[in-house]
Amino acid sequence: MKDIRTITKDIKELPPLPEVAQKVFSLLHDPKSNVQDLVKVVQLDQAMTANILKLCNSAYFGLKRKISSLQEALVLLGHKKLHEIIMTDNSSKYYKKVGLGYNLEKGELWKHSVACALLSQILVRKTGLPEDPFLFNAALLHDIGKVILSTYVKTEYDQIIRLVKEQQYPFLQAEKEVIGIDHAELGGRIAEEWNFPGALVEAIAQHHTPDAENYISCIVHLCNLMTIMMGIGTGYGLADYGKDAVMKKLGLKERHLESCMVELWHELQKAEDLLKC
Amino acid sequence: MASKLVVGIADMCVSKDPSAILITYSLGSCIGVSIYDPVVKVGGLLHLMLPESKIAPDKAEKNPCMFADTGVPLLFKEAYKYGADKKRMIIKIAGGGQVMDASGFFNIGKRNYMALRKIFWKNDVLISKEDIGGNVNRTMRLEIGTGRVYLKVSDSGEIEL
Repeated sequence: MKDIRTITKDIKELPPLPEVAQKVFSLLHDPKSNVQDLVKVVQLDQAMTANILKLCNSAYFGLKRKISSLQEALVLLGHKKLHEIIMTDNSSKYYKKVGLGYNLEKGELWKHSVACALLSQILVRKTGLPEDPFLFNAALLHDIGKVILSTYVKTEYDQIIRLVKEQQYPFLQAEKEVIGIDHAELGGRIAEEWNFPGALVEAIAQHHTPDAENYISCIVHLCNLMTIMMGIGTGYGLADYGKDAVMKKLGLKERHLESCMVELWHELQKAEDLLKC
Repeated sequence: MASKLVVGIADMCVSKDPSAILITYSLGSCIGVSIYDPVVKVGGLLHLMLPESKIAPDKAEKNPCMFADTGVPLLFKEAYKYGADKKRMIIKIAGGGQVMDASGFFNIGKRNYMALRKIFWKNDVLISKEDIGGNVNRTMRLEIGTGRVYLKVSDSGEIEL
C-alpha cells in the first residue's frame, strides 16, 4: 500500500482550475449575479474567449448564424449552456494525458467524461427529474481523481487486476486495497482543494457509492455506468457495481436508460468539436 | 497490405476484399455480430447497442445498426448483395457484458444476447461460436480473407473465436 500523504500531496501539484473558470463557477451559483457578469469575466481571457466561440459555432449546437461575440453566445445559447461550454473547455487539459494506468487509449477518459456530462443532461431532460446547477460539472469532473491516481495504478496494475479477475473485486475496491485510496475519494479531495461546493465534492467522491440522499451522486453514478456499458471509457471492463437502490429512488426503469443511451449516441455524433477541445 | 476497417458503436461493415480486416473495439454490454460466407468469402461485422428498436423507432429508422432487431437483418441483406448465402453463413458473436450485481436494472448485455438468439432462432440460423457475458470488455476482429474471428478480452491476449 502506498503512503497516502504522498498521493494527496500530488493534489497541490495539479495545475489549478484557471481563475476565470473559478470565477465563472462561483457566478453560476450566486443567485445575485447578473448574467452579464459571466461575459465580463470570460472576455478578459482572449485565448479562452476564442476557444469558447469556436465551440459555440460547432455542429453540436447547430446554430443557424455564426456567433462572433460572447454577448451573442449568451443571447443565443443562454447562461447555462455557456457555463457548460466554459467548464468543458477548462476541464479538457486534465483528462487528456490520462490513459495508460487505466488501460485507456489517449483521449478516451476525456470522451468518457464529456459523454457522462451530456448524458446527465439527457437523463434529466428525458425523465423529467429536477435540474441541478452542479450536475453537469459533477458528471464532467467525476473521474478527476484518475488524473493523479493514473500513475500509481499503472505501477500496481497487475496486482489490481489480479484482485478483479481472481477475487471478483470491483475495480474501485481493488484500487483502494492496493493503493490505499480510490480515484473517487481522491477526486473528492481535489474538488475540495478547488473550493467546489460541498454537494459537488460529495457527488464526485461518491459516484461509485452514491448516497440516495445526494441526488447528483445518484445521477452521476448512473451516467458513469451507462457510458461504461456503451464501451466509452471501459478500459478495465465492467467490474463496477450497479446500484438498484438508485434506480428505485429516482423512479427510473431500464427503458429510461436505454432511451437515454440512444439519445447520447446521437449527441456524440455531433459533439466532435467538444471532444477535440 | 491488409486494410483495417473500424466498426464503431451502432455501426456495421460488410466486405469481400480479401485483404480487409473488420474490427470493433470496446464491446461492453453491446454485442459484436460477425457473419461470413466461406464460399464467396464475404463477411460482415455489426456492433449493436440495444435489443429492440421499439424503444426509439424514429432513431432506428435513421440508424438500424443500433438495435439487434433492425441491425441483424440489415447485416445479412448487405452480405447478400455481395453474393453471400444464408445457408452457408458462419455466425460468431461476442460481448453482452454486465456490471456487477445486476439484478434487473442493468441487464442490457443479457437482453441483447436474448434478443439475438430469438432473431437467429426465428430465422433458422445457428450461432457457431460465442463469447458472451462476464464483466469484461472485448475487441472483435474479422479477417475477410480467411473468415477467422479473433477476440481480445480485457487484459488478456488475443484468442481465436
